[in-house]
Amino acid sequence: MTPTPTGLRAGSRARLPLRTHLAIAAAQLVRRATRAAGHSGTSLPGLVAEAFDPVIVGRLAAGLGPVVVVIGTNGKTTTSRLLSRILATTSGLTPLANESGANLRQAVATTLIAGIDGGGSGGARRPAVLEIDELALPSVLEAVRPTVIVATNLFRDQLDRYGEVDHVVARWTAALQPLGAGTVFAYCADDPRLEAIARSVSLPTVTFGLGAPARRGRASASTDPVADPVSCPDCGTPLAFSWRSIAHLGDFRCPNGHVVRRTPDVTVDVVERPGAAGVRLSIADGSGRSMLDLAVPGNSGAYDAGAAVAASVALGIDRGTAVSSLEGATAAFGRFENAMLDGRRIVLVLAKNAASLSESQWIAGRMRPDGVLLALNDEPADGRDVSWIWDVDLPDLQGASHVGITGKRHDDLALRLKYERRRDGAPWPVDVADPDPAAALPRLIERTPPGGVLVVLATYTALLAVRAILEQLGAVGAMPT
Amino acid sequence: VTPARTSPERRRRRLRLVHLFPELLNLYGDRGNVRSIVVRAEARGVAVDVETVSAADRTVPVADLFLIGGGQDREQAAVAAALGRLGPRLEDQIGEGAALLAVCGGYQSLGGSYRTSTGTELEGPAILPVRTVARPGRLVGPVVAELSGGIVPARPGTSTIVGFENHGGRTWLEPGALPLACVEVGHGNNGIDRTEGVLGLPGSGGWRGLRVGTYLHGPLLPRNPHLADALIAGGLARGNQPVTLEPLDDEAEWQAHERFARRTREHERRERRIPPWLHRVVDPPRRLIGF
Repeated sequence: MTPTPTGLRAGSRARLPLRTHLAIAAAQLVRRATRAAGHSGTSLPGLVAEAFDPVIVGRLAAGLGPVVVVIGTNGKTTTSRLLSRILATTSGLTPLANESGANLRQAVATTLIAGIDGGGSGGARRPAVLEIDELALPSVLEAVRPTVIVATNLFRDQLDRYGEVDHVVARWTAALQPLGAGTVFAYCADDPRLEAIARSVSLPTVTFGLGAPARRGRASASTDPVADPVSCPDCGTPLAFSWRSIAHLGDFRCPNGHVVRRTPDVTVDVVERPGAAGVRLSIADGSGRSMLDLAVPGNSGAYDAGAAVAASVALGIDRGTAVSSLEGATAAFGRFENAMLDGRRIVLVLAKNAASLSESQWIAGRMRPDGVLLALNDEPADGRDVSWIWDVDLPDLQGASHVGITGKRHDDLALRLKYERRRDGAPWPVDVADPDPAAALPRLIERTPPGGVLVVLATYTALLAVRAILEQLGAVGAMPT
Repeated sequence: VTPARTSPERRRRRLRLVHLFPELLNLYGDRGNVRSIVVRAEARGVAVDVETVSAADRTVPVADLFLIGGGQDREQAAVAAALGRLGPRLEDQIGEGAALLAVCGGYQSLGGSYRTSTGTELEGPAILPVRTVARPGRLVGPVVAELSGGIVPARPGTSTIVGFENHGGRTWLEPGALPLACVEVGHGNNGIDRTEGVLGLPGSGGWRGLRVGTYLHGPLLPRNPHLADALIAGGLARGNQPVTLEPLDDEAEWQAHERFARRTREHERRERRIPPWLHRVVDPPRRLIGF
């Protein structure tokens, strides 16, 4: 299936076949119905639309400006948000973007249909930034030829759904192979899995990576349970690292000289260690460097900024312009999002897999939290297998005087903390344990002194639950829709 | 874990634990099994030495208890190559009565053979009496299984083990081999004969020579403290040390065990109310809208 160029412009329905009109009308009806029923309705309208017109995604995407597809385990939402900001500044048009988490092809269809009425002025074609689920990439690429594909990283995550990480690598490689030179592959040079994919497809590339990580991983990847075993794609020998940043990301090389990390086209240096507020970055390419104060902390924030700038460079935007558009950018919901309640600061952090929890607990530790609430759910959106919590230690949260555990799998957190003694040999001060976040959160806030900091580390659906409680209390604004 | 009262003659007990290939087989939080053994043994005054063996090592240190975890096909090929060298050393020690816990990929690797999803035949040391063939479609989900009768002492009223399985390999027991458990909810060894894992217990009724192979992770031992204690006893028996273990306060462990079993059974009951043909119709849109 190839995209059907129709000459359609976003903001106009001209020259669409009848079945597409029917599909759009049906989808809009379903969307209204699901919203009235209290559901967000992100995928069902698209599913219905595709029943009427199976190639609707290709038809509508052909009417857009540059389409950027964002893939990866962690950092998709923040990268998309930063990139949208750059494109909005440089093109003067608000890019079409899908909601976080709604990242299957049907959700893309829903987004494109919603964008028909939202859109472009003066005949200009609206750009699109679409974040896509790991397993949905092949079906999306059958319908859409993106201008740029940005790959942030590939960690082990939701193995109950994805099977093995190697399976995702194989699917991505197969999906990218048929693409022509019209698509640029912008990827993280520090991830040997992405390097292996780039080597087996023949797309033009722009790479990004860290110059100096804000936090270094343990010297040996083989003793770090967060890091996946990664080996040379040619000879199978375990890769050697001169430094690592998050899990298996770092400066790698095959001991037999087969594969070496490429020098990134866009290099991000963390020039000032991140505090609570964010991080000071120096972002360079062949033509020079620019400084950026970014409100997204940690190595993860540096990578996300690098990904957004690399994608912009791939679209022909110069590095300086891209970086200056990022001044004042804020983090996405639940990515070190701050809430104030009765003089206490509550920091909401999504921690959804071993790599993300490991990085998040380090950043959170630098905020010297008085209290920590861990929230673990096992809904399909979280992953039903929660064994990854045993792969991460929490060395940076040991200063907290109150620890709470909540969520449907809080029993597992209780065992995790029972079997992991702190450095001083003392048990973790778990003084709140309740499966219901609505019960656990207020009790932990109570124990946090005025002026103090409470960090909430939560899986996806648990984070939504905690945020909804804070929204009711007026501590955070409504969720973006 | 509060240390239980320990009599002085048991205080000198030692347990040598070797974690095999943690750099390759570390997928499912299996280091939690090591934590469980260490913490529960130390709480009984047993001193524990933990060593690791990597695929590049030339020897296997002497141990009372071996642990091996899960990994992907690619890593299992590296493990099979390493076992070609180290397998005999491991086999000798198991033959002398060392205890063993092998989970998922490690379980497959220590059987007689494993045919991977790409058709590669990996020879194994046949330390566990099983053979495995990978097939399309993975067996994934929570498992509740009934332990084989009278072998591992459970808490009164609890004769189950619980865990999460995620494997493409279908494992078959050699004739005469004893399964670890019988599947109540989940797939188990192969999704067909309702067996889960394999249990080896040679000798006359003692713990010496206890060998456990299983697909259950989560990790397995923290939520199944009866199995953890059986493995500690098996390790102690290898060195002819007293195997009596004082009871610990396992309220949190059993609460996690029972809540997991209850939720898994409830989910299964809900699913069973939907007839198979309706499943085929409603599952794809259900996944999309997240019901």
